Amino acid sequence: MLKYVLKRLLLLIPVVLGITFIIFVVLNLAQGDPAVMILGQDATAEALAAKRAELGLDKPLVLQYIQYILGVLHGDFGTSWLGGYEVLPEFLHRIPYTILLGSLSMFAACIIGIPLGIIAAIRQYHFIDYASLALALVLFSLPSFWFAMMGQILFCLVLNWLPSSGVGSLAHFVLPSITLGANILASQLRMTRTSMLDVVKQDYIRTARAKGADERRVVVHHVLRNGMLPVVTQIGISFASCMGGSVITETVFSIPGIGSLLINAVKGRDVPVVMGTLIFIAVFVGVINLIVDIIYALIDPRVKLTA
Amino acid sequence: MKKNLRKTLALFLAGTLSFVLLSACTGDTPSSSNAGSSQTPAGSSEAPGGARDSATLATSGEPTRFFPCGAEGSNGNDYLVLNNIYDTLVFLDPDGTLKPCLAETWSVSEDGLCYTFNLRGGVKFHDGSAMTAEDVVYTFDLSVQNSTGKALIINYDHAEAVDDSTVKIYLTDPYAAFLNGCASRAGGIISKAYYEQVGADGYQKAPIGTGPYQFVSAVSGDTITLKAFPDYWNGEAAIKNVYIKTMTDASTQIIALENGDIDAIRSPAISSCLNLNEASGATWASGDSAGRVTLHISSNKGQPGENTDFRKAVQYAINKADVILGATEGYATRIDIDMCPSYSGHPEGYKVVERDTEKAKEYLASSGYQNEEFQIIVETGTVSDTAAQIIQSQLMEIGINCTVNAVDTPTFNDMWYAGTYGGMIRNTSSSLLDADGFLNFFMATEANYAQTLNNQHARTKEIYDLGMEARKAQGDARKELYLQMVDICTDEAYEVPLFASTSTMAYRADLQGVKIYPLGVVYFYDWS
Repeated sequence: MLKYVLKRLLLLIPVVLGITFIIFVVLNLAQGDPAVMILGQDATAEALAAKRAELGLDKPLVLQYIQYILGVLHGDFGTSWLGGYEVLPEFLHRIPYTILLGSLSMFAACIIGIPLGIIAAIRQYHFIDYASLALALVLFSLPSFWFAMMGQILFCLVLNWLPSSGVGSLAHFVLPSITLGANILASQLRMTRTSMLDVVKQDYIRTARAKGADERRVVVHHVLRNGMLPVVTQIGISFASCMGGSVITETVFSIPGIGSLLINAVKGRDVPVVMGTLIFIAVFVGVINLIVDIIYALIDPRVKLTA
Repeated sequence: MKKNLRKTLALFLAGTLSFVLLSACTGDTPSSSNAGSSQTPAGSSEAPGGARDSATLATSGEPTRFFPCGAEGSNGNDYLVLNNIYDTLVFLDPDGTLKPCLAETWSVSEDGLCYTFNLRGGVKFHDGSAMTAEDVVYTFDLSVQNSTGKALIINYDHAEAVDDSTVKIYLTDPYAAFLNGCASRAGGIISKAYYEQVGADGYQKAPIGTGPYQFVSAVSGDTITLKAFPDYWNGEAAIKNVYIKTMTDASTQIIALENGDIDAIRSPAISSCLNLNEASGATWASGDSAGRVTLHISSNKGQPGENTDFRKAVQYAINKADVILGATEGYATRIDIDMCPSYSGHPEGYKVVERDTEKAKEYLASSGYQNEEFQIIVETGTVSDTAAQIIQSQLMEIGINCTVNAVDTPTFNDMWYAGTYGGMIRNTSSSLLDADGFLNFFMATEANYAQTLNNQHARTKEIYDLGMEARKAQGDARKELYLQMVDICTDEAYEVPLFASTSTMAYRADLQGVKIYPLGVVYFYDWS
């Protein structure tokens, strides 16, 4: 198992290198001169040329990339071109907010979505099944920014229960987590229901019932256990997609996380910040996938993790 | 064995999640650029006796530059910090008049080449040291070492400290708006001793000035905290703690204001202000801005505007009243020259072109226009964007194949500098609030400004020469030169000035003393 984990972690290196190289090339192809963004419109051509040289923009692209990666290997993620701050400490400051937001969203989505999916599957074609599907449809269809705005108006302005933005306390994370989790909840609910229904129709479930197992045992030990594999995969994918979803949620709720950092950096062509953020996201998604695979093996003894 | 392994792994995963949750909850992680806690203010608070002692202002862009003499460009967001931490020799009032600040009095030599400032006594920096004439000389010498400072402190030659409280600043050539430059962010006085000790980076991390507010902390992406300086020369500020909060989403800003989570919003859109629910205790104010929104028509080779008659056709086809109504709900002042009415040196009696579609069609016919694409570039999501769409329909009415290309700021700048546009709508501001700002767009290549390398109209040099002459002239002579410059632009239809944009502020109605400054600056010292 340890060998397997190590191998998977090592495989992350070429993945990260590939992603970073593509992004590096794309950022360089994009219009917008970083020197102008930094020095402003009053800068002279000489000052701009000097700034480009200082940033290494006058060197060949591949050389720039190699220098950046060598820096990263030494723990130097560079300095923000626009803000002037060091990228690594900035991450360490922001990552907890994003992970907290993602974790709370996933927690809320799973704790509501999975049980609802199970109930909907057990009570197929019952009122609760239709109600759950309708809820999933609504949550899945609503744009998150609209959902966020309506939540702010209702809970912050009308009822005055929650703060509208910021990160001062856990209460600040309630609305953002619901907003980010709504979409995930819908997909968890649907995935659990579909997966459970697939398993319910299997012969071994009929056999279990024929043997005289009570319904609770059939559901918990036979249906749920076998139906959880796709759900676990979905959790992994959803957690990774939280990183993307957090861009909008963090912007709307003024949460100083990775998402809001990334969007501002992209707007300002702040290459070191964009690169650093994407390296983090790539590693994060890789690790989440690894954890999902480990959980697979825990749930299903047929799955063997071999290097 | 297997069960144990599973339990261990399950515990490990649960532990990791808990750790993450707890570490995020503490929120007391180190800030990137500056030390400080991520304590978030909960709206306004009141001191004993009912007086307000703190205020939270939301801004859509994060202030990042805290050192006034740096080479990096700064914008209105940075001014939120710079203008409250640093005092300047003279102060530019909302109505454009210059008032004493660190200089109690000043005089100008007859030839306009020497400015003498008599400094106020007893002024202290935030570290307790006294401000002297040496600090003033040092600040100016440092500011003009980079091109951004040079663009504000124009024609500076050198300065000398006559004694502890008198400074003489010498210019290479007279410059009528020199005092406006002294009132700009590049004139924010820094401490020589502190700078020599910590350097530019240290100053950026822990800035000190002589202003009414001291820097406390900056938590990136979140809040910048300032506190009133007790030894401020003009008396301690009424609002003791100021929180500048970065809130990028406009709707969230409004909800937070109506909810009472924040006390003010810097420069909200007019449409947001008009929809403000005043019953919630929120209100808004507007005033003249230093920005003017103008359509610049390229006369570069290969562009439709290469032909003068085509440019004239565009000039006559535009209905400015409709543009103003559509882009600003009517809350803007029409302009016919590329200057705001509030600029010093603003001329009078200039030529004005009114909409005349028949004339526009005649000019278009005589231009030999063959339905080529006339592409107007704008920065996406701005008032210029809306204005461009209205202009597009007006130009299509007379048969011009007009398209609008709304792009992000870096792309916009690239296209502008490369000259790859037919027309361009910009919201241009003058940091000096002076007619000289008009010249920026016509700086000749000898000045080597990147922004103008591709803005070479046939008469650019003529306009540039007049502008350089106007810099030296005073009074009516100066206005006469500006008049000639703007009339050339109108005759040649190089540009169609549309409107002077509006500065806005939305705030809680119980916040007293809110003033609207043309540059969108906020002086928390005014508030109570």
